[in-house]
Amino acid sequence: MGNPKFRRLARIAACAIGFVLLTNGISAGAENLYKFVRGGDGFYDYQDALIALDISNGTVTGQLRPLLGHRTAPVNVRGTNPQDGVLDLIIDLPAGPKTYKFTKEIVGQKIVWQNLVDSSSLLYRYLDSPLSDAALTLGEYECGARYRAMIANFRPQATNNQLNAFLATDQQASSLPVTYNEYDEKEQLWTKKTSIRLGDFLKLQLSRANANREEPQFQAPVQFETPVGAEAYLAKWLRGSGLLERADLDPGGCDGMDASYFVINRGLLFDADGLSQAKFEQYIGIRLNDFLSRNDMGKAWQFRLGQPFTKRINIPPYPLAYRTRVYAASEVTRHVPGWWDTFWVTFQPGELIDTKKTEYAVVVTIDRLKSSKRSSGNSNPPDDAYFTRELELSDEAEVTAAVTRYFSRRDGGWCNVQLVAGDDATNSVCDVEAAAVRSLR
Amino acid sequence: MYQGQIRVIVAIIILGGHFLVFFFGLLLGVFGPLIGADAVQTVLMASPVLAVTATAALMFALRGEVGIHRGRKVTGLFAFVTIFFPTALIACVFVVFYALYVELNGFGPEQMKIALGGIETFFGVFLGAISDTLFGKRESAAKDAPPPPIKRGRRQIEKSPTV
Repeated sequence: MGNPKFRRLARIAACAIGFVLLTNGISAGAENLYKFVRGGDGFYDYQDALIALDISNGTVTGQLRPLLGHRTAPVNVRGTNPQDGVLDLIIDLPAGPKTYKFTKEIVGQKIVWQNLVDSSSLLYRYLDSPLSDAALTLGEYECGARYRAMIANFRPQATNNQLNAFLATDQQASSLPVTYNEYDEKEQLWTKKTSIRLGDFLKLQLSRANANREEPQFQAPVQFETPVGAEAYLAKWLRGSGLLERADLDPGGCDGMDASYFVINRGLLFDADGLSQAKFEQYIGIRLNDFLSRNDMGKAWQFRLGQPFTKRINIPPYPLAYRTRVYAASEVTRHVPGWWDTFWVTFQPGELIDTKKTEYAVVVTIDRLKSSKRSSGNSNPPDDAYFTRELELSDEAEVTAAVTRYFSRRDGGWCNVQLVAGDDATNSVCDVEAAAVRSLR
Repeated sequence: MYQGQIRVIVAIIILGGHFLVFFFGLLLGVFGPLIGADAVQTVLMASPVLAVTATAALMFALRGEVGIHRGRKVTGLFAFVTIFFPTALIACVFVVFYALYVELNGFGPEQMKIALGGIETFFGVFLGAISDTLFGKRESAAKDAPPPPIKRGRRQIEKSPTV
């Protein structure tokens, strides 16, 4: 170890490794895969695409590829890298070549090439991690869903027989329970949540579409909700059918979509075989106990948990859902003094469009939040008979943010909480610190 | 025990109990699990029978401004019944309040309202009869009151029908 020759060799090797890491993505000779947000415009029927670029010695070659699962053929990309941080690309779309000019920005561990003409169009990849399967598969929309809510658009030519044949190719996916909004006669709105098997849902929607279609070349999109973590698999499977023009996350609307999740290192939930149910249950159990036992100021509070149960979804990547009933002090859950809160909390792990390959997201859902005024005669949360006050969706948002924030902070992760509660819209990032960390990723 | 003593004891139990029920009912809204409207509702639910009896007891107390007639000796059963039922009513209300205060499992505000309703109905009949017997008869007040001073001159005139 004390040999100077050996030490010099080690130093050279370290420098070489450092140089490679430093230049990786700046002027690499190998192909790098980027997500092209809004890249499909003008060629693909969907919004996003993938772009593989090889930037070397001032020239750029590569391919524009569809998101995973689509059958569209790739097209060539060429261009120049006239100076560091500038990229001129020509994409040979079937409708004719299209020119783009990008400038580079490195934000934390993310390389972003920003389109100079259209600020919402960009390429990105991570320096320290490949893109996740979800990012390679699912579209990204400014106000759109990040999980659960999906959209599908049948081709006008799709028939019931073709659909039946396709559904038979994957019985597990066909029988996956999904929910959708049915017409509520009372409310006269499409708000009645209905559970159905995916296969039955698609059959129902296709028959409805064929019966009601006014324009032969138009099929209205259908929306449904899947278990968290199954979106990428479903999108690929549905796209592979050839019966759908589109199968993707729901692009949302003016009101936006809910998002409440924290992202942690994959190692906390995975073992050698992938997502471990035992590890996940243990992790959530320990962290949930930690969260509920103390408020932000460190004061100890009593709490009670119901019997948790975990459900495993029967399609790849076999995502989990951990659900339990919580009874805890409002000082911990909502930062409001003097109440006991009870609610159901669901933790659903999954790979999302903005997680790296080394990370894993856990979506947090709080529902049926009720409270009870604390009595000085009892230092423990009372039983259900005392929880008579139903709280607002905005209160559920507060609890969701508190849970999500705690879990992300505890293990050096990050989180995202944007909740839309009808007219009382609550829209907040997880917290300022996390937002700053996220912007650096 | 004499009639007057029984009346005084029962009047004190009912008036004091009514006041305490009202007071502790409101305290449940401050220190207990009830929020404002619930606390007031609870007090209103716990009060009716006691309030009616307490009114009669109060009138009795006011009528006895200058003294309460001792009356005749009552039976042990009478004394027991007239003291036991008001005491039991108040005790039951307090047990309900306490159960709510310590948040007894399965006994929430809804169950408390049902329990109070049951207690009021059950004791209503007994308290009504007791109140009527002890404080209700107008003539009883006259009987209870000490006899007015005798005006001798007039009595003499009245006592001489033969004149």
